[in-house]
Amino acid sequence: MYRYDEFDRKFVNERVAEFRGQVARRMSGELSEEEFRPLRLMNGLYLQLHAYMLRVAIPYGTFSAEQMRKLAQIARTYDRGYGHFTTRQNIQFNWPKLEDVPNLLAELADVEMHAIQTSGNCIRNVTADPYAGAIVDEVDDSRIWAEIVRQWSTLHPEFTFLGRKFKIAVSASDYDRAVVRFHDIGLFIKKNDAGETGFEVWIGGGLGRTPMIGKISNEFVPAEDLLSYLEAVLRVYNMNGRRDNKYKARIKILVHETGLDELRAQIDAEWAAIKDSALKVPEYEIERIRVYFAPPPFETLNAVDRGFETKKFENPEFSRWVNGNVVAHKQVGYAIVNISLKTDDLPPGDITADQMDNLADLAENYSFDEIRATHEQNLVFAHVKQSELFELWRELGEIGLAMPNIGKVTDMIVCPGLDYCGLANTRSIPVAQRISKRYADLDQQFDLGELKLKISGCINACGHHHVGHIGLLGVDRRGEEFYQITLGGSGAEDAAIGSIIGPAFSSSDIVDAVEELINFYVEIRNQGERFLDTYRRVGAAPFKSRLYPEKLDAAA
Amino acid sequence: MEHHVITANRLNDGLVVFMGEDGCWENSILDAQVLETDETLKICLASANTAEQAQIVVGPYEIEVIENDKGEFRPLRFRERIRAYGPTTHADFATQDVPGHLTHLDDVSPVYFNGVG
Repeated sequence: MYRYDEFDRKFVNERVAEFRGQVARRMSGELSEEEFRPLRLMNGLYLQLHAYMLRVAIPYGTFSAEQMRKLAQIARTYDRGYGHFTTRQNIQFNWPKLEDVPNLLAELADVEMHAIQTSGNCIRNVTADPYAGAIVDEVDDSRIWAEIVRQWSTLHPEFTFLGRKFKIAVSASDYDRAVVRFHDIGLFIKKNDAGETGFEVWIGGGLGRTPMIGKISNEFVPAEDLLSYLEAVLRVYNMNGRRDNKYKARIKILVHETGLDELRAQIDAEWAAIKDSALKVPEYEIERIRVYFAPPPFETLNAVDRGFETKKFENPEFSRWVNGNVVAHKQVGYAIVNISLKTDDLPPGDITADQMDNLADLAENYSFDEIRATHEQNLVFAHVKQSELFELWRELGEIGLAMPNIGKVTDMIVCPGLDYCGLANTRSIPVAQRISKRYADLDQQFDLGELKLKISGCINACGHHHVGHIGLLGVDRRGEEFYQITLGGSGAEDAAIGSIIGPAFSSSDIVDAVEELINFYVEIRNQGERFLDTYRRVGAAPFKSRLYPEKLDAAA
Repeated sequence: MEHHVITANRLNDGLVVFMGEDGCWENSILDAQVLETDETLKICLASANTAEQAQIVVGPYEIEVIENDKGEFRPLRFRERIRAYGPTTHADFATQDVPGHLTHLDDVSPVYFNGVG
């Protein structure tokens, strides 16, 4: 795991001291709210519907047991005993007091954490594949490159006041577990025919009110040129991106309005001018960072653990959890364990301070002291011995975190919605809870297979509804909560933006409508087809007819 | 004129507050001063802006309220009801000093708490 060097430590501590001064000046009135707002946002502090909200970065989603314990302590001391994992490998605290935030940040700095660049119009926390370093299909550990990008983008003077926020994600696999194609810049690590490392660069992806799949601006940027290429993209965006309209200020609009070919030419011209500058990443620096992400001291194990196989045979619940939540590891005898935060008790992504402490202990005991956060608001233990899976499952069950629903209908991405968010039109969490209750039967969930349901409480799309196989978007209809359904989206390697199926449903009708769509899928699916596959095969029309039969009657 | 109360977030802790009878800022909307004329609304908004300049509150604004059959004034808009009474998903987080905080949305849409309708 990456550890702060002297520079990182000094910088973060200085930033805490700086923000302490800014808060003091705000409280004394030297700074107005208008002046203070951009300063607090640079430090991840929002003022939401009910209170301040602090968003803490978990760079590329990797953190330690010690850091998790600190988050638990912060949840107890400064919040109300909870934290909330987001879709960008951050954790949010919903109730800190402004006057406490400097001390909170100082405590975070003690464990090498911060809230810098988790908000505001700058390059945000860089995200990566949560299975990095563990999954068999990767060509490199994406965290190494995410860390290199983090160092370059942190407090980059030219890109601190962009036209709008800017998000970067890194993956090293053909499977997209980081919704890379919907980032301002998405990076896929590739090897060329000569075995050299480089990056396939996607630009202009995004969700929000104008969802767009990114486009490939360069198929292979050599590793040593990554930072100069990123700098060229950012510079062209910063100079030419729109600043007249907040809703047209993201790079996706620049790509759309300029055209990919023209924009690529501009980027390449800029790149040519800076390629052979100090931005070249020297091999020794890559290797220096690589050391931080060296594989843990794996034991040499057998491919098949008899004890594990026996437990699976004897215990159907354990077997189901293994089928649902456990993924093959590249190291023989180990496994990747997904820990669902979509349980019966709490809003999606929420976790109690006690659960955090317990998970910290489990991470130390079972996964080399390492935890990952995923963009689907779940957690991962990346390196667990197969022989210890049963014990881990049992202990996770004791703290309510053994829900075997990864990728299933109840494993929803859900924004905080109007229960917390100042921008939302409708609530999201209660709809998710009602859907979870409707599909509480795990046998039914497994029968439905992979089904990505995502809910946003407004057009800003924090709940990724555009890329849900089924997406729900909350809309305000004369003061009442309504939900518009989109179908056919995907945030994975088969990326697609969902299409609106028809008029919105009231809050009381929306769960029945979702069930109707799922029932129809079950009736017409072919063997092995996911909901998304069936939808793509038959198209929107049959689903529409099923959902709005009265329209057919009217036409007849 | 419709009835209004003035609301804001308190600067030091960010919590939702309402302007009370004496111009103090109260945690509960039940303690809010209900404004019945354009003139009092204007005067109180000016007073709220002064409170903002004095670093007491952030972003004051008026909300429309309606009287229920118990004589209590509640926000007209759905958003303002959630803001006044707290998240509908955590009983512990809803405003403690407002009785019946989990039923406050009954007349708008069903309230669900931890998945239980």
